[in-house]
This record gives sequence, C-alpha cells and structure tokens, in this order.
Amino acid sequence: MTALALFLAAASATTLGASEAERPTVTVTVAGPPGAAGRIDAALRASPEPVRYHAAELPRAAPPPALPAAPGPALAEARQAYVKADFAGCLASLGGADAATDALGAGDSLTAARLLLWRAACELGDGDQRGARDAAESLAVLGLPPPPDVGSVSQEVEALLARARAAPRPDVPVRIEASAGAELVIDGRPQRCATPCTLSLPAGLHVVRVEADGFETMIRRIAAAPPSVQVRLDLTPASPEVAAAQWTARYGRGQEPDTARSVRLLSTALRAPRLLLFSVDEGRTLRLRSALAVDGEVAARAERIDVDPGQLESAARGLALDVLVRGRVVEPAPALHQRPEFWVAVGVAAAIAAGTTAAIVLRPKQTTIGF
Amino acid sequence: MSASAGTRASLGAVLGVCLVLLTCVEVRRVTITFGDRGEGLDGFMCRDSTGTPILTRLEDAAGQMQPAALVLDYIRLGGLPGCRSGQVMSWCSDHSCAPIADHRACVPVQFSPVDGLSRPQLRAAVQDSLRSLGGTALTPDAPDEFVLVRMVGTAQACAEVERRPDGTLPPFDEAKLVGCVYSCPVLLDELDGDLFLGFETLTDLCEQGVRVCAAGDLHWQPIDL
Repeated sequence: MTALALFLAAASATTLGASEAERPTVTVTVAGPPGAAGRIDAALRASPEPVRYHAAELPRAAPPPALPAAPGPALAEARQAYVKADFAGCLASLGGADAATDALGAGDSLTAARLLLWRAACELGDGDQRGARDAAESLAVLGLPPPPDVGSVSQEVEALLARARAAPRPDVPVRIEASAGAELVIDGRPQRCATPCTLSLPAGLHVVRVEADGFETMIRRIAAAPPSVQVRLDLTPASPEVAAAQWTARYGRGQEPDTARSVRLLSTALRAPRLLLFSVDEGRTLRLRSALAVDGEVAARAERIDVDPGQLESAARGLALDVLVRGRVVEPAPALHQRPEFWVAVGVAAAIAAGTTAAIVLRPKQTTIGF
Repeated sequence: MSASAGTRASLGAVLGVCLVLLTCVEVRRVTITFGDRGEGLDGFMCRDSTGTPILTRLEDAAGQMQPAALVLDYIRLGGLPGCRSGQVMSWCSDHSCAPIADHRACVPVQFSPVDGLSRPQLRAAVQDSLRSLGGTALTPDAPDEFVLVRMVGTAQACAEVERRPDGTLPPFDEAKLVGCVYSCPVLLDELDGDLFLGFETLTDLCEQGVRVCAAGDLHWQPIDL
C-alpha cells in the first residue's frame, strides 16, 4: 500500500510537473448571474489543471457605430443654391459623385436619394443634360424611392426622373462570393440570401454591403453589366473591437451565448486562442454549460444539470477539466497500467510481499524445553 | 520523487523489513508433561525381574535416596515414524536414531523413598518429585528437526553422562537406570505448549523396556537371561 501511495503521489506530480511557461493559457468568461463569474474564476485558479486561467469579462453593450454624418447641411445649402439658381454652388455643396453611394453603403437610403435628386436638378439647371440623366438613372437603378423634397424641384426634373424610372433596363445575374454565410445588403436593402449568392439586379451601378460575424463589414460598388457579373469579395477578419460590437449586438442580451457563432466572435473579441465559456442558468438548481473554443472553433462542450448552487465551484472544475481534456488542450493522464511507475510500484509491492512472506516463513525459531 | 528514487527507497524498505524479521527470533516454549495424573510416568515405575522398583537403585547402603540425574536427549530420527514403540523400533532398525550429542541436558532430581509403596502411591510420589522441577529450563534451543524426546533417569551423576570432549555421549550404566520416558516423534520448532512424555508397558516388569529406551540407538535388545 505504501508503495502504491508513493507511486500515486509521484504520478500526480509528474502530470502537473509542466513548467509555468509550458502551461497553455485558457481565457475563461462566464455568462450568468452576478457573482457566478467570480466564484468560477476563483475555483479554476485553485484547481490543479496544468493550464493558466485568465479571466475575462464578456463584452459590454457598446453604442451603435456612428454612421457617417448625414450631409444634411450640405443638402440644405444645395437646395438654397438651387433656389437661387446657383447651380454650380449647388453641385459644389453636394460633393463628389460618390457621395450618394457612400451614403447608401452606410445604410442611409434617404440621404442617398436626396443627393441624387438634387444632383439631377442642379446638373439640369447647370445645363449638363448628361450629368442630370446619370443622376436620375442612378436613382432608378438603385431602386430608391423619390425623396420627400422631390416637390421642390422643377417639373422638368420630375419628368427626367420619371423617364429614368420608366426606361427599360435588363436584369443582370450577379453572383457574389464571400465568406460562407455572409449577409448581403444591396443598395440599402437586406437580401434574403447569404453568400455565395446569385441575384438579379438591373443593369447599372449598385452598392453591395457584406456583413458577416467575425469579419469587417465590406462596402463595394459593382457595375451590373450584361450578360452576367461574378464578384469575389474577400472579407477582412474583424478586429477584436468589431467582434465585440458584433457579439454585443447579437448575443449581448443573453441569448444563446454558447452557440458556435457566439463563441467564435467571443474568441476574437477577447483575443482568446483558447476560450472557455461558462453559461450559468439560474433556477431552483443551476444548469451549467461549458464550451471550449480553440482558435475560434468549438472543440468541446459539456453540461451539468441540477447543480446545487453551493456546488458551483466543483461543478465548474469538473466541466473545465472535461472540456480541456476532450478539446485536447491538456492530455489526459494515461491509464494506470500504461505508466511505467505503476509497474515499478507493482514490482516493489510484490517484492515487499514476497520478502515479508519469506521473512515470516524463514524467521528463525527458538524453542526452549523445560518442565 | 523520481521512479528510480522511489524504487531505491522501496527496495530499502523491503530489505529493512526482511532484516528486522530475520533478526527477530520467534521464541517458543515447550513444557514437558507426564499427564495430569502422571500417566506418563510408567517408565519410572518399572520393577526388575525380582519385582523390586528400579527406583530403589537410588538408595544408598543406609537406605537413603540419593539424587538421580534426569538426562534429556533428542533422538534424531531423520524422518517421521509412527508413535507406537513398535513403529519407532521398526523405523530405527534402518535409521540411526542416535541422540544428538550437542543437545544433551541433565538435571538432578531428588526422589522420595519408594519402598513399600503401592503403585498409585509410587506414581504420586514420582509425580511429586518431578513436579519440584517445575519451571526448570533444560534446553534453550531445541533442534529444528524430527526428533524423539527422551528422558532417562539414572543413579549416575550428571557429570558422568555429559558429553565427552570428543563429542560422543557416554552410554548409560544399565544397572543404574531408574526410569525412562519418551515422546512421540515431533518437530519441536512447530510446537508451542506441552510435550507429553510417557512409556509404553502393560506390566510393572518393564526394566528391559527402560533399558531399550535408554539405549544409544533404540534398537531391539533381547533380554539377557
């Protein structure tokens, strides 16, 4: 027994004998009631697993990203210039030809429509028929409804817009390839298909916005020209800040924080190559789930139900060890019979037993005889 | 602790345990007994062909009982024969059955006068005399082999029958034998407790049996007529 006890102690020390530098770092974050994160973090730090735990808070809700400032003042200036028949000043106030598509890319369809409307009006007033026609064409191709201030332009402009809307233009099949599952917003309108996706768009210039979890949002202008167009968009992986914003927007209200997408976003947001996410559902008892993501991909999951609230720490330790082993972050201890130390211990124990037996059997006896 | 260090420590522990066990001698005590009612003492109650108790050989000219010597021998058997005298004789016909010289022990004992005593009185008297030896140690370390334990009573002094310098044992003077008892074949190191010594005879006239019992080789001996 002594030999076995020595062996087990030595085996444990061997398992945990990795130096501090060799221990992988695992980022731990907890989605659950207040206090749970602190208890789980303390429990894991005290556990003997050969990893270093690093606690991280879930990303907090951030204010929505600021859209590009709507060129309201510029539009007002353009309108005043138009009223004063200062068409050059009007065009100067409207900025470059890309201002409308920029606004559309930012999701501001109304501003885009107003920019195109006033560009058409000012170009026409300035005598540039072609420029006016192009602006009216863009408004029609992009499918933007006439803005409310269409009543402020001349009937000639309204007629131009009407002709542009009525002009026949062929539909062009446009195939857009990007990261699998990326969502598309074409000309400010969300599409019901995810990449890779083939859409039928009227010939002309369009604005494509591609959004995907874990990637930076990409905005591109594409020219839909017959017979067909194929566009390949390589998305840039999201920065931690963008990933945090995306996670907060999608999962920040506590909905299924341990889904594969959520965990992938969290891994990026928390800069965690190895992320251990605990989800604690409160009730009369606790339901504790853990998901381990390695390089953003879920490598293992585990769950404990009916956990006594007082046993949260031990349940968390068990779950952590479970997923760390199954996720191959730590190697499971080899079976007892596969350890050389085991057989050394068995041999020593056998030798002790044999020696003791032999000694007892061969123990010298002294028999005294007397009355 | 490394495996090799653990192995060395464990082997050291094994050797230590063995050493302790081997140096720790198990001591057993065997007490010679002749039965609760002295039923084993028939060998000290024999009479010669004239009907005289052989214990009277201890009387001096004035009729006073002289001390007897009780000589304890371990007869080496070299095996395990049966316990009955015929079986022992048969065994010893082709085995040496000689006493182990190094283990002879002798202790003097004073018997009370026996003349005129009835057989029960004689048995009680002999039992009382031997009971006075209670607690006396005869052999500190008995041989660890199959032996037959024999106790011979003789009018000779212990000095006369002790082992000679050449390692041999002097034969008993048959004329001075006063009794003899022996045990069944026994391995004394496996025994702890009482060892019964007795003598097989169906008659008082058993001097010849005492002579055979006290002989050096336990061989059958015809009566000298």
